[in-house]
Amino acid sequence: MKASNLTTSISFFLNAQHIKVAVSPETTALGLIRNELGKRGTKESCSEGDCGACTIAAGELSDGKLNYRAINSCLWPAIRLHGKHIITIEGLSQGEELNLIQEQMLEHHATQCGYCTPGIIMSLFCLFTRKQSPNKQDIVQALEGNLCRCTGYQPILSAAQSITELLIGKKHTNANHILPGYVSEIESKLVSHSEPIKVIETNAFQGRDIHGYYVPRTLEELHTCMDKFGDPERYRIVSGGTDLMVDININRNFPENIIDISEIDDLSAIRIKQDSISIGSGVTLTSIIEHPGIREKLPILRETLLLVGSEQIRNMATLAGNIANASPIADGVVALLGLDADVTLLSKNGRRNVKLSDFFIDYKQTDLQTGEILGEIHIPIQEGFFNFEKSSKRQAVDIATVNSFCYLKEDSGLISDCRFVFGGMDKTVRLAESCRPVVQGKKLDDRLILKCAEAAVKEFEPISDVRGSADYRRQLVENHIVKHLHKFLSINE
Amino acid sequence: MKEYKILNTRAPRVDANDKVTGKAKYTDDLAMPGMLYGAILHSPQAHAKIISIDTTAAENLTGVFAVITHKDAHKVSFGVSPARYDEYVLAREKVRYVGDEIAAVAAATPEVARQALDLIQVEFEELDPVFDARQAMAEGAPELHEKYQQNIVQQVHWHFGDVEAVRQKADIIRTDSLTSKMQDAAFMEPQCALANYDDRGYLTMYSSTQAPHYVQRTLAMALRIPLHKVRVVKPAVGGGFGPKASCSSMELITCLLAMKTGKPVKTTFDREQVFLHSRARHQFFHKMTTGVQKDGTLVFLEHECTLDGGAYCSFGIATVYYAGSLLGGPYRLENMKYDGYRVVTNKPACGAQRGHGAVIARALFEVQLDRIAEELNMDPIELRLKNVREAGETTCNELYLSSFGMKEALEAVRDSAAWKQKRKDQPRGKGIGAACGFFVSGAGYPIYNSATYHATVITKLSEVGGGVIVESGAADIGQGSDTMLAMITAEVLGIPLDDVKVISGDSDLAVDLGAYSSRTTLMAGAAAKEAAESVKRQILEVVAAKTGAACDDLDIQDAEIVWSKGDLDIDQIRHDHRLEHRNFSGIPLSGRLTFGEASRMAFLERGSIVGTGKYKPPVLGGSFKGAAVGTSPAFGCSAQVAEVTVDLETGEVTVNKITGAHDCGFAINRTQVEGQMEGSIMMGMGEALMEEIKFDDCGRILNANLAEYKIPTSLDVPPLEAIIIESNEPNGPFGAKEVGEGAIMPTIPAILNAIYDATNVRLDELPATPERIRAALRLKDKGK
Repeated sequence: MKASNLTTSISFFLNAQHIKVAVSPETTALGLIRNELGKRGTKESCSEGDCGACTIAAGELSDGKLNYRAINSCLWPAIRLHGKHIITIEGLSQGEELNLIQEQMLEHHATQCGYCTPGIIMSLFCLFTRKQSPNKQDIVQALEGNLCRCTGYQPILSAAQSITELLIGKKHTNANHILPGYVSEIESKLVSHSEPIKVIETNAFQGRDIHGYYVPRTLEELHTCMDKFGDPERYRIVSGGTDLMVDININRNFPENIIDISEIDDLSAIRIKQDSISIGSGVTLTSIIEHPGIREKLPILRETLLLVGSEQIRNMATLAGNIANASPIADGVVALLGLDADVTLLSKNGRRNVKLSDFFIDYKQTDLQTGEILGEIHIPIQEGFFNFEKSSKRQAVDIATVNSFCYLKEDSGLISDCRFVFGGMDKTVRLAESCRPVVQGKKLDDRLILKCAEAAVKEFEPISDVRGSADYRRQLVENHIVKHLHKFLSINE
Repeated sequence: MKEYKILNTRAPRVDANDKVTGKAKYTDDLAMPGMLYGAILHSPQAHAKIISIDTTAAENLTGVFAVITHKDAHKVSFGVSPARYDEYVLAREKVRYVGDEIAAVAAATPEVARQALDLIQVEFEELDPVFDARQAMAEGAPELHEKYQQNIVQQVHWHFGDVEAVRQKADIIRTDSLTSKMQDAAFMEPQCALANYDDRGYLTMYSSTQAPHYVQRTLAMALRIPLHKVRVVKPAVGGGFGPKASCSSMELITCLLAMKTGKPVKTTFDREQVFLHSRARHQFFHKMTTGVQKDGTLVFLEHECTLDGGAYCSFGIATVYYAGSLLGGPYRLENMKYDGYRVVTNKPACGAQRGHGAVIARALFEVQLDRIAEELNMDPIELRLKNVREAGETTCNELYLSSFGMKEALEAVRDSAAWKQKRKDQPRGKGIGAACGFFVSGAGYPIYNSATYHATVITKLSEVGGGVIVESGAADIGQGSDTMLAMITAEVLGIPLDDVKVISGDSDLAVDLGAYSSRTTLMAGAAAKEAAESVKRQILEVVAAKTGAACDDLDIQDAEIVWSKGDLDIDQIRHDHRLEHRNFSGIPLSGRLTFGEASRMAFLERGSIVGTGKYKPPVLGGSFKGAAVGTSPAFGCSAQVAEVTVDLETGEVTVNKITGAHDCGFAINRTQVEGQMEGSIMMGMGEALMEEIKFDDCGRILNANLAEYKIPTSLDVPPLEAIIIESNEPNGPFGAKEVGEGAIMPTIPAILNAIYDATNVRLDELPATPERIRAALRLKDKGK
């Protein structure tokens, strides 16, 4: 335990209320809202973002309007609440009148034990604030991060369907349909909200190990902050927070300090250029997925990222976090490697670019040096065939057993360039190098496909773990190669 | 069928408003002034002697109020079945699985409590562990408990009819086997308990439990407190599915900490602890040999089963009996032999989970029926229809089927799923499969030997008139029993549902054995009906006396007193009532005597009007050893058809549709019946395709979280069609019987049969993961 700890004073809106409160670094948004502010409707069930029972709506201003995203409050440091409008289950009904979503959940018996219900309603709330008439796919996507063990989901899906119909047909008699009445008032209050986060030295907190939580707003402030601690062992950089908070909640690994880079404007941009796309390390997966430029120029990235985690996780997590973590199985990393991306590493002394394929050194080890952070990801815009495959036990919100990406370029019927990338097969995500000589310069046919698959299988020495045996992984590699190449053939027929 | 106003509708649940607004209070939502937080030290060893426990440093940590070990507890063993009590509040002498409870702390904050745990020093002497049930039964295997020779907790040897005598009559004899994996119930609310011990020696515990009654008894016994001074209250509960049906060490520890500190103490499990405590589905190793005649008539079944139940007995005795007894139906099978062994190993203890004991047995038997149908070149549904029992029959193990819509259910799914056509026309990779199942509608006997009523209900008219309060011990854990009690009461009394308030799940209110074995609608429902009828009679007696009408000519309809002979003279009654309620709203000015006026009048005449109801099953079952398990006043039955697509390359299964039909006797609430069916089907689908607890070589769970222990998400839901069959159960209130568990029975085998139809490969191990299916496909390819 440290002699003194830092506490941070934050200011935000919770439902119709303005909250000013001092929080300690390891406090989660869930802990603050549920335990300290007494909103017991938000539930805790897994503490690591798997179940969605703690889902809250986090509103941020965008062009003067509040835009709400579903967040797993167990994975958000409470300090992140600063400057936001948070809506919890308690903030939806007005007096005795239920919100339209609550009303339809009730009508359809979409609550049994009810423990998942607040989270499910908040996920639906975020969906319906953005889309009046979501399709089945949108609804399922919005709910994929909310587990329910009682209902079998069917009544929940029916409730969502009927909300859509009522909204479209304007048939609802419920005036309190989606957005609570107080939202416009909070919108205007947030426009002028300029209270900064304050860090206060205190001795008041007992029983915790994190000393301080820092939120630099510029790269200069970031480097000053990192310099202050020097030894990278003394701090952890956090962007999305989805890995860090699992580490804190479950493994009780408390970093000495946390440096949160999510408020740095320089790191939060997506830039579309003629021949490449750059994504700042603070950009969430959802921002990438929804970016019109990416939808147009890099649809494969969007499609791949939609398979990562759940809606809530994508609203928090960043692609850069996946990379910095050096996870050997991350879907996004597999796609980036397949797209031949490189990364910019920033330090106070300057910047350097590293090919992503050179960035991963060993299991959970990267080329990131002391004083460096991952600043930007660059993806070249290329012509060709792209495909991502993922094998997992469940249709979504599942870490893959094996995932892979394939890039192929064809010139006059012959393969002129290719990349096959696999996750889950080695200590890092990596290219299957031996495939290239098999297919390069050749015309693809069934015989060649098998040879290519054979080469890929031979290349890896996977391990057996909870997600699958080594043998099964090898079989999946073969399947994936066949799937990629058959898809290519069917498109090029 | 009689016309009902409230029953058989789709009325919203009485607790839905609280649940959709976040107002429903679960145990962890509760707090008391001065409350401390409990935390438990779990064993890191699978099997070890405890040499010493040093709690000094933990006790000295600021903010710690108590640290307890087995020395602080009475040496009283507890468990589920009194004959097999084998647990202590905290481990004495040795630990038997990774997760066994060794010590506990009460502290000012949860964080301090956790830090204190880190300061407790335990010295172990490691013992050889055993993790496989069959190895545990072998000669020389490490012994977990002195009293269990060869680690066998219970063995069953049943023989009904005469298998040897009829063996020759069978034209086809098949032997098949199926192995499952330990599972987790994965309810959304982790267990939590909040205990308070007051100065008069009364202990009150709020707990996330399915069975306040049994928990109350166990607390009193293990903590040595007079039974009447222990009160167990169940707030809203976030699902149970079985594992919350018995008293846990955590509940006992929390009470002990409260008694030791004199302060309220709350302990909340984290998700890993839910997995460690487990008490969920056993691992089953089934082998069945079935003989049939050429025409499909079932001749005999020989069945062997070993159950890996982890470190303690828990529900194990019942589990091993259920695994055998519930194959007595739904088919005509007069010769059945069963040898079952329930074994302990150094893994988390297993207990009851939805479809207790019978789910995997059912899975194998239904899969085997399909294999037999194939050999006979018979349609699998035809084979089943040929053998299904009907109402009025008794099974070879003496289970009497007082109502039984099995045939109707099977025909309904066959027709609704367009079975015949799809069975014929589908390409390889697509398949369709069917299965049946049945289940008790309430265990015929309590867990401890007693002549107790299984459910009592006290219904009281509000003295001011107009409202009705139903007090019950029944545990609504999400299945909707409060709504059922309210609907039955409102129907009997002829009043709107909104005027009935249910208070339940409190051991001080009434007796109810709990939410297990799908007993609540039949048993608590019958008690509620009787209590409401008593109240109704009392009101009508007073009205009769006041008006001179004959009691038998009076009734209550739409909250008004109706006299079959015309209009009652109520002028004086109404005049008095209005005088009494000057300036109140809702005072009737004209029309018939209202229920509110009549209830007030009854109170003024007789004092508080209270009606009581009770239910106890008649003496059921045979006289052979273990005959009690499987008995029930009624049996629900279910048929399902699953349609799947299997990726023949990767082995991935997509379930395209499940059509289910369940005979619930009579649907008290139609939407709730469908809700139980759909929930059961999705749980069964998870168990069929993805759910399994994995262990490392040291007995540690590798996937004690909801990321790696997969349960279905909204993306996995196929279209589900739920068909309600109503066979009018004579022993159930208004003809109602169970739906909560019977509906899971056919799901796993229907999916397995559909996978076989799609792939022609047979799986002998569950769950049917892509990896296992692919391996089976590979094996088949090699065989060619």
